[in-house]
Amino acid sequence: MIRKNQFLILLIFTVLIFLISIRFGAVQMSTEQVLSGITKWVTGDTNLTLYDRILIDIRLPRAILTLFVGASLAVGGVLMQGLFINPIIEPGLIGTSSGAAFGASLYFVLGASFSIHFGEWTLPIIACLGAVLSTFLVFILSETNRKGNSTTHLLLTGIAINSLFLSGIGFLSYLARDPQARSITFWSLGSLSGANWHAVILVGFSTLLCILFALRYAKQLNALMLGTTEAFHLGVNVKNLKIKIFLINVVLVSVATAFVGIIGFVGLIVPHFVRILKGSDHRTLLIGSAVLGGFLLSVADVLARLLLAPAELPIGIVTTVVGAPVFVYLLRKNQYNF
Amino acid sequence: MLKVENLTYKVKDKILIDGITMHFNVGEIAIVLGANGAGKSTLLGLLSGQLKPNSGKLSLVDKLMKDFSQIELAQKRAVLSQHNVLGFPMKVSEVVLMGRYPYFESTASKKDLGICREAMSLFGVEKFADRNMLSLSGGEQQRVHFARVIAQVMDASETQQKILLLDEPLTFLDIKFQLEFMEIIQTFCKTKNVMVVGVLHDLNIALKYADRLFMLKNGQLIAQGKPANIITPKLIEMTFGIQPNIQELNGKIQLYF
Repeated sequence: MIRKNQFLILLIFTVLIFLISIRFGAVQMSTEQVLSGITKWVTGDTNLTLYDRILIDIRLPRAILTLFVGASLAVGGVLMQGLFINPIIEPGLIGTSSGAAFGASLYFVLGASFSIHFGEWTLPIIACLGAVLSTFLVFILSETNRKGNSTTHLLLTGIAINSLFLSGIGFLSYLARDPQARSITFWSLGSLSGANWHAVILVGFSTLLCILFALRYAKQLNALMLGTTEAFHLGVNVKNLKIKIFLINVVLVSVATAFVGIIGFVGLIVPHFVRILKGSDHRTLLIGSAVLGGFLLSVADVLARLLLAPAELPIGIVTTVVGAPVFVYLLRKNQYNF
Repeated sequence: MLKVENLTYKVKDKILIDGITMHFNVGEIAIVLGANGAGKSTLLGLLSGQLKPNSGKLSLVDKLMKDFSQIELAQKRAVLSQHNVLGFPMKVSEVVLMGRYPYFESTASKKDLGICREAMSLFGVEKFADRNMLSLSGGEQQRVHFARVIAQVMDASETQQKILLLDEPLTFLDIKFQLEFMEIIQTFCKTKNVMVVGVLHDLNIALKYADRLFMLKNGQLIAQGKPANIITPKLIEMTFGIQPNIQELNGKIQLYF
């Protein structure tokens, strides 16, 4: 009974954490204040109090963005683990997050001397460009090499390019003056404090669209679990599938990362949680991971805001500190064979 | 009927398959024999579409194989290989259903599910249907894969002839199940419109179950015909370089080395 209703229970918890997320923070709000704020927002009432403004301009976009970012990272994890048929893959392992971080570091250190500016969009655009550049580099380098197993090759190239961009970030941190260096560090640990409605719309659009596309390839990803040869015998065009999954992942992860920085661990562990609970059929895996990813990141964000309130912890620290032991516990408790 | 005409495959200047012509019929088990490096696996790779021939033709019931789409081919041809792994935990029934993936878009039809049940009972794995595949023993997992592959070609008919390729599937099985498996395959191929083409190492099993044998050496087809005409001391020595002892016991030929 509980197993059948897991998804419903997860949805209820997600709604709960969403409500908690908009109530708590530097300023506490009562349920009535939250409700009146939401009512005014929905009805378009312009007679807003300070609390209404905080709710509509800060809390709501942040809570919604958190759901989308969590979903993006978790689905990216499902796609990459499925594509590489490897359980230890994070969506960033093919260069995406290190490229994004490099772009962001460039902005923090040299941003003042840039000749083109896009206001609040400058940082996300540069981070996104960095992510696309590094991932594209990984793909081109591994695809033009015809030696050996191309999947392993793609992975190893990703590791190499990751190190290259990480040392680039190291070099920029070395050049940076203190506040810039701190910005780099903070960005690399992730934060949702920059959330606004533009980010919500863009990340939400990318998340929903990519999940819809990914679902079309769920069956093919299942077949791929038997290995590339067996997938071929089941009628899957593996090369084609690889490119499509790769592209979906790049869009998902780079758009999300561009707005919130690097948030580790969500993409790695959420797919495993869902596999432990629901098995590995990619149709349930993709949808389950999207919801669970959003839920867990919301929990992490609430903790990040409350643990050292009124100061705020970088969310990447929370996801890792909470995620790692829970994950190890689940691995040991359940029969989860690899 | 699957027709192979003048098939040639080379890697750089090395000819691995040298102008082979052969054909396979439905209801027949055809087994390809040969020493290591004779070209058996390469031939199977060409038949399964993994490798593209340099020249020659492959046709199924008068239509060239290369004119079928990849999905159409997956509906006509299944490959059973010696070693299967599953990357992530999945239910046995979900794994068997993969054999029907070429036949449905997003939801399996009643027919697909029925075929999966039939395939599972054929290999005695229906009792595992809800178990996690990765919690089964190696032999049990292999049987699930057999059920999956058989499900892929189960609905063959007169107008829809199908091909089952065996790529040394017996390698990791104990002798009892090797024989059981061959019995199942034999019945399957006689009752459905399926042609079975296999690569096997065990000459006695080939002798016992094959309707026709093909001998490969250095990429060339050196002999083909009924097992009794192929398993001769002369041909065995020519192909494998060792002399067998052939004995008749109760009217059946047995090989000893």
